Amino acid sequence: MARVGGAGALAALAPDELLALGARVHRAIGDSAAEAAPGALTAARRRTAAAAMDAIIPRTDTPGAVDAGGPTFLAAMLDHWFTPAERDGITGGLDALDAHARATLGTSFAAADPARRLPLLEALDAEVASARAAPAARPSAPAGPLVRRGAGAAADQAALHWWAAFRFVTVWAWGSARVVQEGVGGTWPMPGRYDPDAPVRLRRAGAAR
Amino acid sequence: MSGGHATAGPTAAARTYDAIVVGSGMSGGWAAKELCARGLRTLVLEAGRAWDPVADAVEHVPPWEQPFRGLGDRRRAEARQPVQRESVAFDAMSRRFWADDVEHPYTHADGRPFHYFRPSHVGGKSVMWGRQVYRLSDVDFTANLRDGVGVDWPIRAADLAPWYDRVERFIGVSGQAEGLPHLPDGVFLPPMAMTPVERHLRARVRAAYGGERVVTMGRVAMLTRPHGGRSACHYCGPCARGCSARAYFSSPNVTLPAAAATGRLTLRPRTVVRELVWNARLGRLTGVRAVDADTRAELAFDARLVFLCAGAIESARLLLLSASPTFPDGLANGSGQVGRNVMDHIKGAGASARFDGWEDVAPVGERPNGVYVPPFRNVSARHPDFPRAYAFQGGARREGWRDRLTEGGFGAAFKRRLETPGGWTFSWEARGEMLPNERNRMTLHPTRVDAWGVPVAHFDVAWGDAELAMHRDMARTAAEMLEAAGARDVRAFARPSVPGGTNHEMGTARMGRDPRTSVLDGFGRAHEVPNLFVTDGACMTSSPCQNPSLTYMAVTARAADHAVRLLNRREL
Repeated sequence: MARVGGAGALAALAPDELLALGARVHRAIGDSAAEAAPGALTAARRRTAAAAMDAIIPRTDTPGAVDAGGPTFLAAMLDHWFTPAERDGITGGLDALDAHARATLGTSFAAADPARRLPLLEALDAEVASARAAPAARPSAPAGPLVRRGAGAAADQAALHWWAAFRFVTVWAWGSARVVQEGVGGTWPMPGRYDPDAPVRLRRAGAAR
Repeated sequence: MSGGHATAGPTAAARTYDAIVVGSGMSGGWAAKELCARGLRTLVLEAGRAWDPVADAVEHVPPWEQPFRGLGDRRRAEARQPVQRESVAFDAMSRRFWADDVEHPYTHADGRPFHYFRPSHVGGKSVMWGRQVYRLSDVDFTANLRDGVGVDWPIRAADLAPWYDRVERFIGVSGQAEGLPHLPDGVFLPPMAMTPVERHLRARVRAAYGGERVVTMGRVAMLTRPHGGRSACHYCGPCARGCSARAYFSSPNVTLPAAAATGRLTLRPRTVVRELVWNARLGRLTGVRAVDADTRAELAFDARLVFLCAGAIESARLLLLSASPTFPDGLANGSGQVGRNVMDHIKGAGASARFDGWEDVAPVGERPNGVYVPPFRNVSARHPDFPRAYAFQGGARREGWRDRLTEGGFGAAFKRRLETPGGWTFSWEARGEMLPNERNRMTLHPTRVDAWGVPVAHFDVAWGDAELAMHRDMARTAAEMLEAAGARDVRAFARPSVPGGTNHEMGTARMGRDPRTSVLDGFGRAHEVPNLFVTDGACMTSSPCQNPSLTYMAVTARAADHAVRLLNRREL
């Protein structure tokens, strides 16, 4: 792309180009600076979020959700993507999760032993499952599997339950991350061919679009 | 010309052309190519912006570099593109090809929503289209006559066949010949490959329905081997973001460069045509009036011939805007049919299922195509509940991490589910024909105007009983074929799409034999305006369920040939 120099050049960029540039800047200056930036994901919430993301998709012999930049992605989503009500639902949920840990485990959620904090998250999964099963969550007529994709699906999750939105962001952050897509069995770089009968080998992260 | 970039704008001395083409998309590109090739100095006027179809294509931007990692800028979309974002081809990167709804508003009747998806650039929807291309047959061309609906098409399949050939040879179409009389085979490059589940489904449906229903590979304007100096598809996937390999047909990648190569093309982007100029004394158009979209300068261009290829809605809007004492209800609208008979394909009905087996294989690469079930209702036997037909499009894939976005679970076990291919799922959805109905119409809004002060389109369109009855049948047959193939968890779905939502709007200036009941003749020439041709979706007399763009291209090529013959015989 064209070299960017100064505010005038920045002003010439379309908003999505500006965001892409912003993402590159964030990568360049690292997570520490992003952590210090003001926003809805305060340092305390960020620790809670990172611990919860690690519980959902931990680092094993492959990168986990935190390695994939999950907390930074969540911060951007909270500040620039979710509606104020959705944002407050998620930040309030993180605060409540941490408060619940302090009350029941005697320590912050982030500092708690992973095995002891897991039941708190399983309870949230159960809440989401109940919300999904509620009649209000069901559409009046069945829609096709492709009707709600990407952004629409993310907004749907936020409308359902803050934890559903948090999980969505976590899995999306992981699946869309370079360290995952370029990892063993990922789909980048693109194969440059189509083979509908390719043998399944090792892990595959699925399509990146 | 370099791809979609403009050549220099016309100078005052160069404002007279042999032909003016309004619109640079599917039809406009073909009109430009064919007219230029026949020696006409041709001006293409495009309301959208210039772009470079190779350098500015964004299909290879990886998800981690996309806005919000591919979820897109939601706030911007809600503020500026609340309608456009409903298109299946709108995403984080392709959004740049869709119009700004604030600049391009429209209205609809209360309780009768309409989705009007509009492009914003040179090439129009040929950049974001689904690329599915199917010929029409005489089952389609005789349908109105047979059913006593609308007016009879003034052409038959034989009239278009050589033009379908010409278009297919030039653009490159991959597909499987099936020998079906109601879905004529074309000039095909090798078809794309089916997944094992799709091959199984094809065999089982053939066995269950005795050849009445066929599962074939989608016929697409995409190259499966190099063709015409363009590369074969490399299966990167997101075609709606442009194609720097030029592997699928778009006017900026194929027809406009061909037109430019003649040296006779002038392409002027960001030019909003406001009126076609009728000269009552001469009994013909003398040109068009327009406004520069950026400077707001008033512009005028003259030509002996005008091709209106702005899309079914914009072309009709321009005719209505071009009222005069001769044509008080809109140019070429003595029949009163301009803006009427708005049609789209009804969708939103189909079925999904799971297939057990084939666990040792999974597709590599992103095939931007699926399987197709050609129309089978009302092809021979008449259905008691509705007169027309529908076709299915869909495909099989193995589940991946995106299918786990709404699942619960934790830790290494959940991660394994993300990293490991899931089972085979299949889904397909139908697109069905909408009957022409004069009550489904677009008009000019009496007070609302767009960013350039031009009255906006107002829609009053709704599905009729025939489309809704067919919609219910779509879901039934979608499910029964999957059940016949041994699928499990078969789930039918049926939620009618919003009219316009398939982006196959057509019929607003229909062809017909009688000037009292139609706007255009069989060549797309206006009955009442000898040097005006309208060859986009507006010209469609009915809306056969096959994806229509191939027919627009063939109609346009045929019309251009006819127009130049008339010019050469001094009959125009």
